Amino acid sequence: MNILSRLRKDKEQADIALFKERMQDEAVRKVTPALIEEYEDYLLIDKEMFVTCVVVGIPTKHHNGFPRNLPPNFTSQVMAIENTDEFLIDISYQCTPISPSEAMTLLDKSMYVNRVSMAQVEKETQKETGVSIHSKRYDFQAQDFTYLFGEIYKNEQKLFDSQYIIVIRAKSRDGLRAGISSVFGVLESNVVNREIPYHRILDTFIAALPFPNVVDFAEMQQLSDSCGALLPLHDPLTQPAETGLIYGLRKADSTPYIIDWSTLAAAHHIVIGGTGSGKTVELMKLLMSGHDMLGHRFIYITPKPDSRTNFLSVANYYGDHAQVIQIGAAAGFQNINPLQVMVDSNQTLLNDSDYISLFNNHLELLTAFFSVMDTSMNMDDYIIQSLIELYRRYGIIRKDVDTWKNREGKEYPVLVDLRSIWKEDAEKKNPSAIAMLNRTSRLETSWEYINRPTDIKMDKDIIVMDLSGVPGSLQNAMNVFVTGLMSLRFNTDLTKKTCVIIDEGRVFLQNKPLTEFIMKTYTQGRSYDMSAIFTTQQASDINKDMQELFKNNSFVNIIMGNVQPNSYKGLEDFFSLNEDDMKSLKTCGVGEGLVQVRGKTTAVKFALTDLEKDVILGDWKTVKKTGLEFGFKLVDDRLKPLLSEDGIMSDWIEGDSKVLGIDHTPYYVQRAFGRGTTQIWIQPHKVQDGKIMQQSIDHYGTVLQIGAYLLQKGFKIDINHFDDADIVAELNEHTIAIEYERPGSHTKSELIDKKQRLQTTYGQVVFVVPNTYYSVVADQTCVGSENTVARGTTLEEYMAQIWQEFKP
Amino acid sequence: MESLLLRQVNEEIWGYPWYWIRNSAMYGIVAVFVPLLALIMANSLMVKGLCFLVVTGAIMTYMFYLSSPEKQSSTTKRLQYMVKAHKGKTIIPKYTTDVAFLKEVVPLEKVYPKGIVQFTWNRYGVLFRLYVPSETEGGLESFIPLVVSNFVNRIVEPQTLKVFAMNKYIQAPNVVNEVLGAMNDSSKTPEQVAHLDSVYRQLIETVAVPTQKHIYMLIGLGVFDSVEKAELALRNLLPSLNDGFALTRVTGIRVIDPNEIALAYRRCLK
Ligand SMILES: Nc1ncnc2c1ncn2[C@@H]1O[C@H](COP(=O)(O)OP(=O)(O)OP(=O)(O)O)[C@@H](O)[C@H]1O
Ligand SMILES: [Mg+2]
Repeated sequence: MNILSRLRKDKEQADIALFKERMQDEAVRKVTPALIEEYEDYLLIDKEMFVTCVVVGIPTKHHNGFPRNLPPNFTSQVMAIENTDEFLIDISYQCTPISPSEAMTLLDKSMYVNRVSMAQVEKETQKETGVSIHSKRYDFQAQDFTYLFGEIYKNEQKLFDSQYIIVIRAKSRDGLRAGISSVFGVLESNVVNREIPYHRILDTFIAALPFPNVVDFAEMQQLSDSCGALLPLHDPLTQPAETGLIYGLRKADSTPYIIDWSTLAAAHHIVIGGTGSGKTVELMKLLMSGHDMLGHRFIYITPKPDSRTNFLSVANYYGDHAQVIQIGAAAGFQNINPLQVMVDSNQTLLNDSDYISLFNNHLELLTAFFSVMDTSMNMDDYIIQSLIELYRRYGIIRKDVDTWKNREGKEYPVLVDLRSIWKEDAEKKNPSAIAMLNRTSRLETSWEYINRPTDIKMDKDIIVMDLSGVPGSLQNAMNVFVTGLMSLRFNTDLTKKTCVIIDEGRVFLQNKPLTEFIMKTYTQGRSYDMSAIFTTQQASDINKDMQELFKNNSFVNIIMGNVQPNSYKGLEDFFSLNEDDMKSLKTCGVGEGLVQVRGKTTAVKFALTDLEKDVILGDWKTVKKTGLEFGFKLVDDRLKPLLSEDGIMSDWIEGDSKVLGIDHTPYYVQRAFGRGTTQIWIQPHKVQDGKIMQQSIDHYGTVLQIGAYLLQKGFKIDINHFDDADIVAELNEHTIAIEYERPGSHTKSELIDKKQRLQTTYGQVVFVVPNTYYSVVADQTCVGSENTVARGTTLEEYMAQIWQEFKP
Repeated sequence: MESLLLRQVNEEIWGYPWYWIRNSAMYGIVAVFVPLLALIMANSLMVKGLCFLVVTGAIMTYMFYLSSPEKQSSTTKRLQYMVKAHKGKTIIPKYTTDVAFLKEVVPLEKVYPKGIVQFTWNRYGVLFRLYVPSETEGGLESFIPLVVSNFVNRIVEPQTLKVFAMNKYIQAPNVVNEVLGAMNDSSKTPEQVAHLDSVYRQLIETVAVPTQKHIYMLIGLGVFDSVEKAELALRNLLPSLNDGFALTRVTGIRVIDPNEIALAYRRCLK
């Protein structure tokens, strides 16, 4: 017994193995969908994808198939048909060469048939009308054949059996219809013949796919040139899977222009644009989006006050999350002592060698700070030496990390202290010291304020550094220092990527060591987590020997519009713009421009969203409510009143309604409008014995759907779940009572009573019923057809009609 | 641009397809002439009446369904479909349908390890994935001649060239979902959410439905009695094809792994 069952088991397993093996071998089973259903005019695949085909270009008695002057971009036009949620368009073109000898035989025969037909027609017309009528048609055909013959005979072109099929796939039959009408639109405007191959859709579909199959009714003959033009080998819109930061809208088609920073080697940008061209506005837009979407930290540094674009209001908007630092001499302004080593308390993760390199970077940054004052190599060396000496005097030893890591309560030297060392050395006739003294004499006059200790804290995610209070002569150096400081400070932060925006970054673009320094800072350590956006007014701001550096290090170039004609040449050369780019640049105004990334140039309108407009261009006061209090977003804010109900229809939710799954359970209910089902989400404890508010879930769902429809049409509604009418809707002083009625809940006389009661209170009343119940309720002995409407398609029509009647 | 029906023209008589004339004649004899004869010969009034009905019916049928070549071919298709539907061959559940019939529908025979695909009737071919240029120097006017000389004219009989450009919805998160995702991130402040909401509203008005193009090219190699012969034909063709890709700046990658080939076909089929 045991053995027998074991044997049977073994056999079963062997069978399964055999079956698997066969499956492996049977490629066709692997690739075929589980269920294909072929109908007269479409296929249904796996019960979810609808497919149909259009055969293109077949000539008939009355149509040439393709017009003589078909534009070369015909296939591109078909490819450019916008795919929608509803349908997708595919193109298939096949060509099989016909040997020249066969081609010529075919043509010979055709020419013969043509001549015979011509003679026949002449003879017939002679008989009928007494004159022999010569139809030009045959002449043209003869010319065509002669031309074809010539091309093939001279071996200029080949003749092909070809086949052009467009496939439409959709999620519903309505989608198919929409797809067909889009395709027909393009074909008709090009005067191309087309036909849906009724009863043969499956064969046609397979013939469209990369199988060597053809269907005879789609076959035609064409020359090489036509094949080349019709093959779908050119993509009019390559839009990759787009995610990333939104820069604005493409000028060409108003679709969002997006760059995914994570695919760039580094997110460094250059923005070039004349004054008033919209640089600051775009920077602010990037800052807001980059912060809110990508969660990056942004530091915006500007050396000049901006009367036009209120970058401060962006900081204000973010309130506690942002910080404005105004550096300068005036009272109330803050200061950064360049000699203070900025060590973060939250950088304690670092070990000693990290600290030492932090100190080295600090020294390098100071050199950069002075380099703006035109220092030579010798002077740079001297600066380092004198700095080390200065720090030593203050008990700060680079290698002894504890001497400077935490100097709470102890002072840092300031720049005048450094100057005293230079003074000592100048007396010893050290030329570098003398030179430095000359360059920094203002430290004791107008730059005096910088000799205060650092009194800023930078712990926010958005930092706006306003350097406009810094005396002009020190501005460049301070700009460099602050930028460097920010970069050094944040490139050790492991949790957040940081982007430093330097509005008016001219000083960097003109000084090679500076640029190198800044680029190096960014590429060190946690390299790609730092990025920089430099802006400047003109391409000529960038020195010749800097151009290469920038070209290699800037991965996104933004060229703002509203360009002065005398700047054209500079931009054209610097960004290697071609003729078309220049043309579109010239049409770009304020708030528009070209964006170059990976060698591709696109004209973009830096369109702001409503809120960005309010914040960046206006003064932001309060956050408007957005309907997000509930943890999801409604498709229409007008639906908000319904959120006090105990059920939420999935159709009301933008995106995936599964977000409701945390504390709600989905139930399927009939759609009140149209066909099919939809989901209603209800908190489980609200449902008892399959009922909610003493109503069946189906009833409840129908009422909510009708309510939602009315709200979206602008009605005011009252929903009652116990007595009275289910919904009382009001628009423009008209009211209607709507009652959903299921079989078996009321008797005929109860219904008549109800109708009269509601009619006296509200004027108009309608009973919505399931299809199957319609004939009973609509009967004249009950409430009558004028007061009854079936759920589904007719309900939508009915409601639309009510809306038409009521609306002002 | 011209498209011609040279093969059909050959079978035309005075501008009408030979098959249509033949079928019409046969129909005439069987459905009209014979009953008509019976009508004349019959002596019972009943039979005469019946014959009369048959003749009128036949003529009406002819006028409705067969009176032109177009009508005739669509009628034929309809009849063929009805027969097929009657035999239950219009509903194809793959697991319970036998392979022989499946192959009649999807003509895939076998995929060889080196990426050669065998179709039914001993036809062989290879599949390529194409990445086509979106912007070509000098525009289409100069791109098309390149395609003609480097692709079209390099195909010789019995080879065949087929390009299938299809669209697929992308499942990967797109920017809209990303914005929605960011909005649902509980660490965002109301200000951030309000801003993202405004971004979202701008996006849904402007964003295109996220789709991705897949372009496949089939080179039919012809009919061979063994895969080795097909392989040889492929080897002779490949250099010229690769050359063609380079010259047109179309990137063509041959799909070699049998699993990938299966995946490609499955993607095309659904
Ligand atoms: N994308 C935009 N949408 C709407 N308006 C814009 C846009 N960009 C710029 N503007 C308008 O142009 C003005 C100037 O823009 P912005 O301050 O950004 O110029 P800028 O290039 O930074 O000039 P400057 O060099 O003087 O700083 C803005 O105040 C605004 O009115
Ligand atoms: Mg500005």
